[in-house]
Amino acid sequence: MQDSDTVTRFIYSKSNFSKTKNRAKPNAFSPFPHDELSTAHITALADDSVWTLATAALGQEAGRGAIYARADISVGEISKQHLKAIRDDDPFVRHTVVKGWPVLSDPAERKAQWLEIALVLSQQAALVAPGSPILADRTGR
Amino acid sequence: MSTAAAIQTRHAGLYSPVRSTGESDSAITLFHLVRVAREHFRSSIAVGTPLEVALAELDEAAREAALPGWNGYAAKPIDAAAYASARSFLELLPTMEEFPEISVDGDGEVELDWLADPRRALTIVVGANGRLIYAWLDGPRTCRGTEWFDEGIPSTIARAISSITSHDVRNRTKG
Amino acid sequence: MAQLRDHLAHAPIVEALIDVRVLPRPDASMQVLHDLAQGLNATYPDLKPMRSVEAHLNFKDGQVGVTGNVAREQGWRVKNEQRGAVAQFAIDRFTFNQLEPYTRWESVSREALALWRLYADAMRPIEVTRLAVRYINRLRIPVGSGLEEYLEAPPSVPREIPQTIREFLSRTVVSDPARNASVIITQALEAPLDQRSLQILLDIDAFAETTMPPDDASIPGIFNQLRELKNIVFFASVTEKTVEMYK
Repeated sequence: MQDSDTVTRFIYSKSNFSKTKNRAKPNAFSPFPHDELSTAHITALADDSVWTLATAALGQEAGRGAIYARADISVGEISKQHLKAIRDDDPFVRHTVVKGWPVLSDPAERKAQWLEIALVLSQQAALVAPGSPILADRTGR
Repeated sequence: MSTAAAIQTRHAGLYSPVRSTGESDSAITLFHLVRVAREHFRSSIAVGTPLEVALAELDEAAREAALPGWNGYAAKPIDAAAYASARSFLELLPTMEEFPEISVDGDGEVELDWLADPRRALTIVVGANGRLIYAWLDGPRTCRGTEWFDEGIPSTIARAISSITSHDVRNRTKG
Repeated sequence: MAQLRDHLAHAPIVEALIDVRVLPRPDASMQVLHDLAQGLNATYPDLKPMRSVEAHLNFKDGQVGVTGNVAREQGWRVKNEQRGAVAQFAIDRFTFNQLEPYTRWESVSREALALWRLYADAMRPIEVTRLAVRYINRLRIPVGSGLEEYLEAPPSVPREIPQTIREFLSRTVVSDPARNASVIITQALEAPLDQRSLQILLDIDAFAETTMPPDDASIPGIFNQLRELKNIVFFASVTEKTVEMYK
């Protein structure tokens, strides 16, 4: 992917972004408890199409009942943090995984480094909120 | 002459926990009287509401994070010990300070955010037993670290909070 | 003590409260309180319920679960954010809070009395049981100052022990038989995180316990007397040096 490409992080929790500051919080960009961050590649997509893509990420899994916002960030900003955005189209088309989070044996130091990265990314990202939350269709469609 | 001096090593506000291991009736009476005096301030909107709002936000975040996977990315549910630590930390903040935005992270620990602007922000993750993992963004510079708190806010954390909030005018009496 | 003044242009007031406690009628209604609060929408657009919440969070195996919330309705709160004015309507009390920016006693008491009359007309309480005027002040003093430079009744530390005070909290309740009133004086020392100054909270709560009908014509006069008592206590509690900072 190019530095000029854009990926987005879908936010399924009301408390993972700041309404008053109109920005994502660091925990929106934290990969915990995994070691990679799940995003979607949205370069060249119109806003409506991004929200349509968002519904593909909704499902019957825990916590994915609604999307409250998304945080768009350039691959360039991700690269500055020595991370790599790789489009894998799994589990949905345009799915992109952000890998390369520092591997450290000390869990506190690892958490501190990941937190520092997540802080920078979250503050560089552009928060976009739909008019109203995008809800999962509970019939499974 | 009595001199009021701020001690550099300990930062603790009006509502920092009062602990008593006294067993006598007198000890219990005194403990109660101190609480009465502090509760009198807590009934004030100007002095008490910022903490009340923050504690309510913590409880709301805890309710949202009660179940595994609550954030849609397989997050752990909120850790009880982290919740208790976060409550204690919030009670340590002096009443005139800016209180943070409060949420839970993917590890089940409590995240406190002061987001002044995109170039100046502080985030602290409160874990069990008073562990504080923080990251601080100040213009082009970032820093991170781990501290521990017990009866006061560590100086590094106090400096970080006052540095970030000195320019942030968000008024938390909007409760 | 400082010289008594009627008004300080930059008084260190962070909150002024006028509070009335009542004996409610047995059929006192939360709906009436709600309608009263909502009727003020034009001037107090921010409407919120007042509830005490008991959240039952249980912790098992290090995990938290919510077994239930018990929310007890207490009343309604309305606010005018721009003016810093809040009114609280509960079954057994009415409170008007003036936050910063404080204006003058005349306008604060006028607004409080007008809202009290609306409350009394709507709720028709059996009687008024307590009237109070409470002012909370924040005094900023330099680190390392002698407290007696700013307070007339600072905590006293025996000369034989170290004199540096880190914290203090005092609460004194004084009776004023001449005014048939009492006053709670609470003082506390607090340091902001930057430690460039110290802050003293001086909370003066002058109150009168009564049994009078809600439309008693003496209520405004009693508030004025309580305010006088509050002023006497304030200026008696601080030094001229303190007052000079807020003229």
